[in-house]
Amino acid sequence: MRRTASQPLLRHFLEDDEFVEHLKPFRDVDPLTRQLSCISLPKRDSKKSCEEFWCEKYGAWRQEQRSGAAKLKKQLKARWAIQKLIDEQLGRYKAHYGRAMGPTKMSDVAELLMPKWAPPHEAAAVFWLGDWRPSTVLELLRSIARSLDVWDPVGVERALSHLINDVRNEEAVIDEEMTEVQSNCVLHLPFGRAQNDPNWPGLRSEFRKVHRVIVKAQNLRIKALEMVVKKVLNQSDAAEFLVAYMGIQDVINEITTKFKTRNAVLVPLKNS
Amino acid sequence: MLKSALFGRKKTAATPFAEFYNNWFQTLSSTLLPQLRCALSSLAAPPALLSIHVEAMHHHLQSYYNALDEAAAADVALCLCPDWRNSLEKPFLWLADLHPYLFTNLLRSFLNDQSSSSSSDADSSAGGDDQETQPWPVAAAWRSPSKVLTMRVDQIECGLRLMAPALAARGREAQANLVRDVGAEWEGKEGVRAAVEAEMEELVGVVVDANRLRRSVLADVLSVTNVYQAALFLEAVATFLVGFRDEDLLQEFEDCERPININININININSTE
Repeated sequence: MRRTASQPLLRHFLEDDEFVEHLKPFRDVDPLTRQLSCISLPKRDSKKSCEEFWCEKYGAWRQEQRSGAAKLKKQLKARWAIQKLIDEQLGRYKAHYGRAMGPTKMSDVAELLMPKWAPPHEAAAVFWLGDWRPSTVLELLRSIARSLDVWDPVGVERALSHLINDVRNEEAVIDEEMTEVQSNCVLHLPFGRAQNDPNWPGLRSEFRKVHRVIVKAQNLRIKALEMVVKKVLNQSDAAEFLVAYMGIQDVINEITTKFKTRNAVLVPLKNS
Repeated sequence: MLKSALFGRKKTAATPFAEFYNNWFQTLSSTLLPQLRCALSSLAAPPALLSIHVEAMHHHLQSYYNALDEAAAADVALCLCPDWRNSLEKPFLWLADLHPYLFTNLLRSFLNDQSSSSSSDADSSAGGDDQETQPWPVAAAWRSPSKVLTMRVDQIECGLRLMAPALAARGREAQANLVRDVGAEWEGKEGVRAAVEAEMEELVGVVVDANRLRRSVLADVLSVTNVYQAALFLEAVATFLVGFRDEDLLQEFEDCERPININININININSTE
């Protein structure tokens, strides 16, 4: 009897005794009988028992399906729970970035740009117009994507490259607007060249311009984070990213807080 | 390397930069600016005397930027979020100080004021009232500026437009490099600390170069203008700096509770009708 093509391969994985034992049922049983036993047709002597048999079979099948569906439901619930947590986390970032949208006094603008809650070294290390620079967050994701073992690394890398490019362009536009305000304030502030203008409109209007820039920057931060979490990454990668991002924010904050206490600004006083 | 280069000099005394800045500001507002104004309004003041005041003011500004370099080398982060600046000043700071474009825009405003007032033949410019009381050479300093001067101002602006965005890009790239280093192994705190320190070193270079740019723009402006033009320009710079610390204005600014982002449209309409 010739061996089928699969047999040598099967033998490769089994010891000799095991192999013989494995083949035994196939040798002893006539192929036709084997086929029939697989179908397991009920005997025709009782119509009732036949129905019972099918009912049992169907019932068992339904039970298995139910159990499978229950497992799926559990997993789905877990997914919804993760999605809910992701949305909540995003919501907290939005609320944090959205604080500039609330009523803002002129004296609040400096605090939005250089917040006292952030150690100066943290601000210098990662901030742009008062909080994490959006393109830096994206660069961070690109860097941690390797250790996150993302589902589609090539696709994520490609999508991130496009996104970083777009976000950097938008940052440049916002920078340009800020530069415009900072370089022309000498003409518009009440103590600048336009000294004969009434004070408050000039001052207020300059602070309003700066505020608009801050709001644009905050919106870009929200947009970049949403794009990453909702478009670039799948759900579990997004969850992992948010966890890692928070962890990195904490580590940088912890380290830069210590910087503040270690470094004093000491320069020789020069008599001009 | 940069730090050691900046601190290679022998230190005679150590002062927190905030204290230095307060002393520096006091000298500017109480001594140098009044002296310059006095020289500008004096009918008998010879150009040589005015030149001395111009030089003193220029030297004072340069000394501030030199000290800011040293402060940046000691702690660049504090220079980027300076606690010696008030809430009125902070929004207008770019890499630790005024944007260098501000100096060229101010210079341009002198040129434009003159061309607009000469074309309308009416003395309605901001400095109109002053010009009536100023001696003739000062009042006429910016009238009919030469084509050479206009061309040189164009050149200064052109150079700035190339260099300032490059500095901002360096700052951004330093931040990107930090997260590239940190992202892969962020749980190793020593690695993160080293990456932050490396970034700070790079930022020191950026701030020092920004100061160099500001110093060079001021020097360029003084080199292309005559003594009267330079005196008026520096007087405007100093007046602007002093204005940020005007106590009455600052008090009014701090006390103002009216939000700036509510009824924006209404405010814009009111302003446009004024």
